Amino acid sequence: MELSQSLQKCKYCQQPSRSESDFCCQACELLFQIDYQSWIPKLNNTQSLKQREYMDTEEFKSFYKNPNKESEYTFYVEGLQCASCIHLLEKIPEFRNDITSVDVNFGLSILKVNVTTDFKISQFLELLEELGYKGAPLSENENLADKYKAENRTNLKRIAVAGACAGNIMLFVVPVYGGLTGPYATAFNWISFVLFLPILFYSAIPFYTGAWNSLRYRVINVDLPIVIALWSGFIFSTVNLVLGKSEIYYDSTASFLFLILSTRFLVKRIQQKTLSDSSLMSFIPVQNIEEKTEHGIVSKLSLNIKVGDTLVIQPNQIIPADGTLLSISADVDISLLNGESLPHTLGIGMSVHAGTRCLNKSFLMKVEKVSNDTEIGKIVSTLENDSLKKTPFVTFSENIAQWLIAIVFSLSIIAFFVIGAFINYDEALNRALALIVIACPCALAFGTPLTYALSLRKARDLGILIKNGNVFEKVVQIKTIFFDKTGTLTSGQLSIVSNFPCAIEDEWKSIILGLEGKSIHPLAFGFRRAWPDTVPAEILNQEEIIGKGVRGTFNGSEYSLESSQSRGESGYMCVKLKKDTSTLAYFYFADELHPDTKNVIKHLASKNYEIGIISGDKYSIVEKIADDININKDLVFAESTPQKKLEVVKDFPFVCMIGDGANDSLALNQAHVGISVKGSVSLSHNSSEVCFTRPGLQSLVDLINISRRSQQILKSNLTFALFYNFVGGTLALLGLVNPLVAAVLMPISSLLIVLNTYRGLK
Amino acid sequence: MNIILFMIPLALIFAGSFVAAFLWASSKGQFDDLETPALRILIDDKNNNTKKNDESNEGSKCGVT
Repeated sequence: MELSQSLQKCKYCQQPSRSESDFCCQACELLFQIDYQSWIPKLNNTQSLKQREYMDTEEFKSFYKNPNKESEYTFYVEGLQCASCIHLLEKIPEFRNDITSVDVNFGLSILKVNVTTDFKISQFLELLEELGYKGAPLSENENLADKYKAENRTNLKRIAVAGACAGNIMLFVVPVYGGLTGPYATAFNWISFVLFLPILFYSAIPFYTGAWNSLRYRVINVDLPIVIALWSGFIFSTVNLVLGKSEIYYDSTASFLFLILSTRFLVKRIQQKTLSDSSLMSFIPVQNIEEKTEHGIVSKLSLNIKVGDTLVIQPNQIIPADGTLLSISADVDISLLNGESLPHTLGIGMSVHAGTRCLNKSFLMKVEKVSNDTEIGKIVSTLENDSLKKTPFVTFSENIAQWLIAIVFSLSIIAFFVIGAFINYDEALNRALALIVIACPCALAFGTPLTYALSLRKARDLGILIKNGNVFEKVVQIKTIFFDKTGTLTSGQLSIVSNFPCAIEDEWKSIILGLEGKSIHPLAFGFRRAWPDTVPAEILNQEEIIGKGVRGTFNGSEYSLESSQSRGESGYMCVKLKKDTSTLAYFYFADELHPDTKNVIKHLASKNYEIGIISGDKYSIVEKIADDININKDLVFAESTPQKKLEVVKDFPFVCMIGDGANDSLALNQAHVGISVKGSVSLSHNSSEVCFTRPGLQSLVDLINISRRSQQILKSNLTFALFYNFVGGTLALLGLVNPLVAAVLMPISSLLIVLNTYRGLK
Repeated sequence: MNIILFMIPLALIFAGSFVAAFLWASSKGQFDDLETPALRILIDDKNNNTKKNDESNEGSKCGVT
């Protein structure tokens, strides 16, 4: 079973690259092609510099400043690929006077920048863009690297102490096993005892909190038996040490604790990395908004907007609040909010919603609702409530752990009385405690996290970010898969599906591109993508026909590009090109399927998954897509509000929801497995457990394969552990276990589990 | 066998000082980021003036020419 298709290698750094070009990133291309030391970024894009001017206000700066260090800022950078990126970014101080140092954290995609007082965030972001990265400042709460720093350091110290002590205990126990007796043996055992204390009182602290939580919330977790085994091992050995007997288990207990601590740390590190990638930024970005007041236009941060303000929204801005439109008309992209692919033209007095995006021209709006009262704010708060109410998922291994604990303890109690009655109570105590120590759920305690860690890493390499290891188990249970349409099945971009007449003259193409100019309307992008080689014509008197399209003069005749009303049934959006009064051509646009969607759906259908679509888009459009990819009509839901999506998902057991918009977030949160796809809004990242960073749906097939394999390994580990516990337990009850047997059996069983896991996930 | 009375404390002191060194290093943040430093050394910036000279960059560009 091959999990990944082979990725192309970067020409410079030789790493597998996810992009289509020869290089994995712009840094590699630069380093490969030119003498980059003489290359200095131009920063000539004054327009975007101007748009970011607000970032240089003191208010904005102090929001993102490192609270402990005035001159330090933290940035999240998208697009770090390889060593070249680190190299290039850390060279920035050489050609910028306002930056004293740049420190890259590759694993977390974070830059720490030390600056002088002239530093401008806007210029730095512009610079990053020029170098081929996308940057965003991180505020204190968003900066996960610092958040987990203390915790990680403590964990590492606990592991170091446990490792050193366990290692030394093993050294001192070897002569004893070798037959050493007398005062030296006693002295060595006492040294073991002393070395065991740091493990007991320092390294094992996380297990105590885990066990305490398990008692307090009455859910049995693996920490509880570990603590019991640890302490019974310790007390049992110490009592025997004092009484001068040879049943001493310090070495086995110490080494198994060290192993468990290490594997848990591994899982934590991988999960933290994943979190830092997926929990980026809040839904409505902190941005600069222009407000129209009696004294003219002033700008303010979106955090400070109040009800009643009149705002001037610029093209490409995310609207920060709910309100009514004061301008004659406005084009708004609402796909983020409800998944509809075609832009909406709103008229005066209609309501505009926070979280949607202004398209080609600026407009005025009056603010009516802000933050939590907005439509999007309501979704966020429902989401928070829902995730609190959601019942925690009990994994298979937790289930097994509960049974194992119950069985081992009742067995040891029974054994104590039975053996006590037949032989003597002294021997009975020995055997019962040996049973507890040896039957400690080792495989559960570290086989499971190890499997998760390796699978998570594998998934990460394939561009799948997973927040929690138990997702693998849930994925295997999936029966039904629901897709959102816009941006998930389709690319979310409009492209030309047909035109009339069939052949379009080159002159018309260049006129159309000229008319569209620098427009950021989705149609303009569609035209540009369709004819990448055409040079736009010089259009005179270019102007906008409000709510309809654009017009301009070329070679003395007036051309216009207008929307045509024949949309509706066909599911297409239609535009016509007019010369003076006669129509020259029609263009039909639709949101097209991703190239690999059909194959993936076919593959999934052949594996007997039920497949459906839930979309906020129009019936006609959704049905057409469903026809194209052979989806059962009973499972197609169109024109769904976020609440409706939630209801649909609730009706199916073991459902997987894949979506990208804020409108999917409630459903993603409710679903057994929620997956968000590339390019999604951070709200859907936060509500889903899995995130695909590669475009297309191939990752879904990869995820299912990885999950299946990790569950197989988990099961073989468990089978082995149960077998081992059975044999070890029987030996302990028969009185055949002594410390030497335990010292040999326990590491061997651990080693077998590690090998099995590595072999399976290679 | 009396040497053991000297050797064992010595061994323990050694072990203890290594643990202490590790604890100190991790408090200083030396283990906060294990990935970046490993990649950071890969590209040697001294020789980039003679960029066209392929020898100087052989390590990072091998297999391309």
